[in-house]
Parts: sequence; C-alpha cells; structure tokens
Amino acid sequence: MTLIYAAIAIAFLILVLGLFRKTRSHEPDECIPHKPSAPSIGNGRWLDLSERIFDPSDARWLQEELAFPKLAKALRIERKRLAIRWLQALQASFDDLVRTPEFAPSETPLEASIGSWDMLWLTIRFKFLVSYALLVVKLFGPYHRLIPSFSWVPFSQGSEPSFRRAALAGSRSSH
Amino acid sequence: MQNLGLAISLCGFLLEGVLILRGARNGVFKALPLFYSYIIYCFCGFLGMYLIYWLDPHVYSSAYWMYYLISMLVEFTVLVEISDQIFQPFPAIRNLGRALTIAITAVFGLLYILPTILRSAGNSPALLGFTLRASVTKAFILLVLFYLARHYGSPLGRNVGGLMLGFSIYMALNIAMMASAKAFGSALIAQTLWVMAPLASALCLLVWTISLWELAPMPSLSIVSTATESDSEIVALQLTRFNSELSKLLHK
Repeated sequence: MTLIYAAIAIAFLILVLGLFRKTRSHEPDECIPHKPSAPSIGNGRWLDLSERIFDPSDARWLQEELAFPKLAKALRIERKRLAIRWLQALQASFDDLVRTPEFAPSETPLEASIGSWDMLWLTIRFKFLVSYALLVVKLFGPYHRLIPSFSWVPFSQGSEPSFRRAALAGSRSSH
Repeated sequence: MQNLGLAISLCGFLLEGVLILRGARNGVFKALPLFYSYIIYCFCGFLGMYLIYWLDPHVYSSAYWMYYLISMLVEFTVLVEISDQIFQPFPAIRNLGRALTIAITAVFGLLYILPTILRSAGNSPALLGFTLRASVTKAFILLVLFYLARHYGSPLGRNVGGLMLGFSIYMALNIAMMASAKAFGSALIAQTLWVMAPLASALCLLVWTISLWELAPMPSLSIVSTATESDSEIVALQLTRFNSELSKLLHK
C-alpha cells in the first residue's frame, strides 16, 4: 500500500511538472485545434441544414413510394455521416464560444455571480446533450426518437427570458 | 531533530510574514483574497501554537493535532482560489473550477475519506488515514485543474502557476510522508514529522513567495482561438441560443 502511495506521489509530481511546463510554454498555434471551421450559431442557413439532415421524409419517400430500398439505405448512411459532422461542428462552435475571454469583468458582482452559475449550467447541459445526441446518432442513425427532450428541467424554460431580458437591458443602457 | 524542525518552522513563519507584507504592498493581496486569508490563518496558527508550547507544553500535542486537522480542511481554500483564478477570463465557465473542486471534495469525502475515519481502530490511524486521503483528494483536484487549464487554453500567469506548483510539491511530500507513517508506524512519524512537515510547508512557501513577489498580469489571451472581446450577457445569450437550438432538435 505504501508503495502505491509513494508511486502516486512521484507520478503526481512528474505529471504536474509536465503539465506546468507545457501550459507555461505552449505556443499560440498549439492552442488552436485543427478542426474544420465552426459556423456561427447566428448562421440561419447552417441551422436550416439540420432540418434537412434530421428529416426522415426523403429516405421514407425513396423506400416506400419509389421502392428504392438500396438508395434509401445509402441516403440514410450519408445523412448519418452528415448529422455527425453537423453535431461536431455545433460542438466546435460552442467550444469556441466557451473559450472566448472577457477582458473587462462585469461591474455588478452579485448579478455576475448569479449569471456565472446559470451560464455554467447551460454549458454543462449543452455538453451533455450534444454528447448524448452524438452517441445516439452514431449508434442508431439520425432518425431515431430515443433522444430525451429534457423538457421536464424547469431551468430550460426559465433561463431564456431572464438572459434575454438581461441582454436587452444591457444593450439599452449602452445606447 | 526537534531543533532542526523548529528552525525550518521559523523559516516558514518568516516566509509567511514576507508573503503577507509583499502581498499588501504590491496588490496581490486583493487579487487573491482567499489565498491570503489562508496564509494569515497559518501565520496566526503558528503564533498560537508557539504560545501554547511555551505556556503549557502538556496541552501542545493535542492542540497541535487539532490545528493540523483544521489546516487540512482550510487548505481547500487554496484550491478554490486556484480554480477561481484559472477560469476568471472565461465568462461561460467562470465557476467550473469551483464547482469541480466542491464536487470532487464531496465525492471523495464520502466515498474515500469518511470510510477510513469510521473503520480505523484508534485515533492515530484515523488521523493518519484522514490526512493521507485528504492530501490525495487535493492532489487529484490539482491534476484536474491543471488538465482543464490546458484544455481550455487558460494562460497560467506567474502568480497562479506558482500557487499551483508550490501546492503540488506540498501535496506530494504530504502523501509520501503520511504513507510512510501509515506503513512504518507512528514511531517513525514521531521522529520525522518534526522535520518533514515544516520542510514540506517551507518549500511550498518558498515557491509561493517567489511567484507572488510581484503582481503578474495574465499573459496575453490572444493565444485563445477566438480571442474577441465579449460581454458576459452576450455570451449568456449565445449559450441560451445553443441550448435552445439543440433542444429544438431533440424535441423532434
């Protein structure tokens, strides 16, 4: 047991020193992940794309009305690939937002503190949901209905208006 | 052995004094309030302990262990301070470090630390077990924080980096010391604790004094991939939009 703890202590120090050296010395380029450019959440065309990707009517039409099961299967596979890429791009775009630094901290500490916890909850919620969605799409395809809505979470309905109100108030006061 | 330990303890005490004075002069005090409250606690604790030692040596032993146990818990404030500082520039995850620190402490406390206290036969093994496992918990939290700082590209400035490095050295020495004491019995701890405990503390304080000598601003955040100036409210609005878009998709 002592040996284990001694190993833990040594491994911990080595890991910390390694991480410390890397964190202190990394070059700016190292931090930028090499991934496809993430579209903005404000991009309507990109959001509309999801409607198309996750809509099963095309595949159903091919299979049932035109009786092309092989084509329908190929379309499903292609849509699955697109759905995974779309979700990954959404995740990348979200990560960019999370990594966005704020240079001038808010002047209202109490409000900021409450807002920070809300924002953390939104971040964790999104990460959890997008990971779950990716898992389901990878396992069952983009047309599966097993994805929970989480509509029972009261926060998801209440948070939006409060943030909107805060943002509107902020934009009004700045003008 | 005791005299050597006393000398090292005095060095640690002096370093604490220097840290407090420098912190008050150069403004680090305001930037790291939780950390300095911990240092002031240690400074006052040291004075209190030596007062007890000179006035009533019979009470010293039990008073020392009481102080040591409380210190084990108070040390978590250093972790909270570090976690606050790491995520300070990122409004979306500003409280992530604090939340993780609390969550890991709660889980480890219930599943890892508490059983050793309840199952130990006698005070001494319980005390050693608690100290050892609390140190492992802190080390784990530090590792998670280091990893997250790297993952999110948080620029560890000289001040926060030094805090983490000093505390890591202290934790590693604590783990090694307590594990040895658990394995070789309390006789060993009676001999070596006089030197090892103040030595671990003094080393940590030395790293902290060097790194906190001047208030070092955060390194440029231009290294972050989309380093654009943003308002907390705008980020909050964007987060809500991301969540509502994903929720819309999941509702289908």
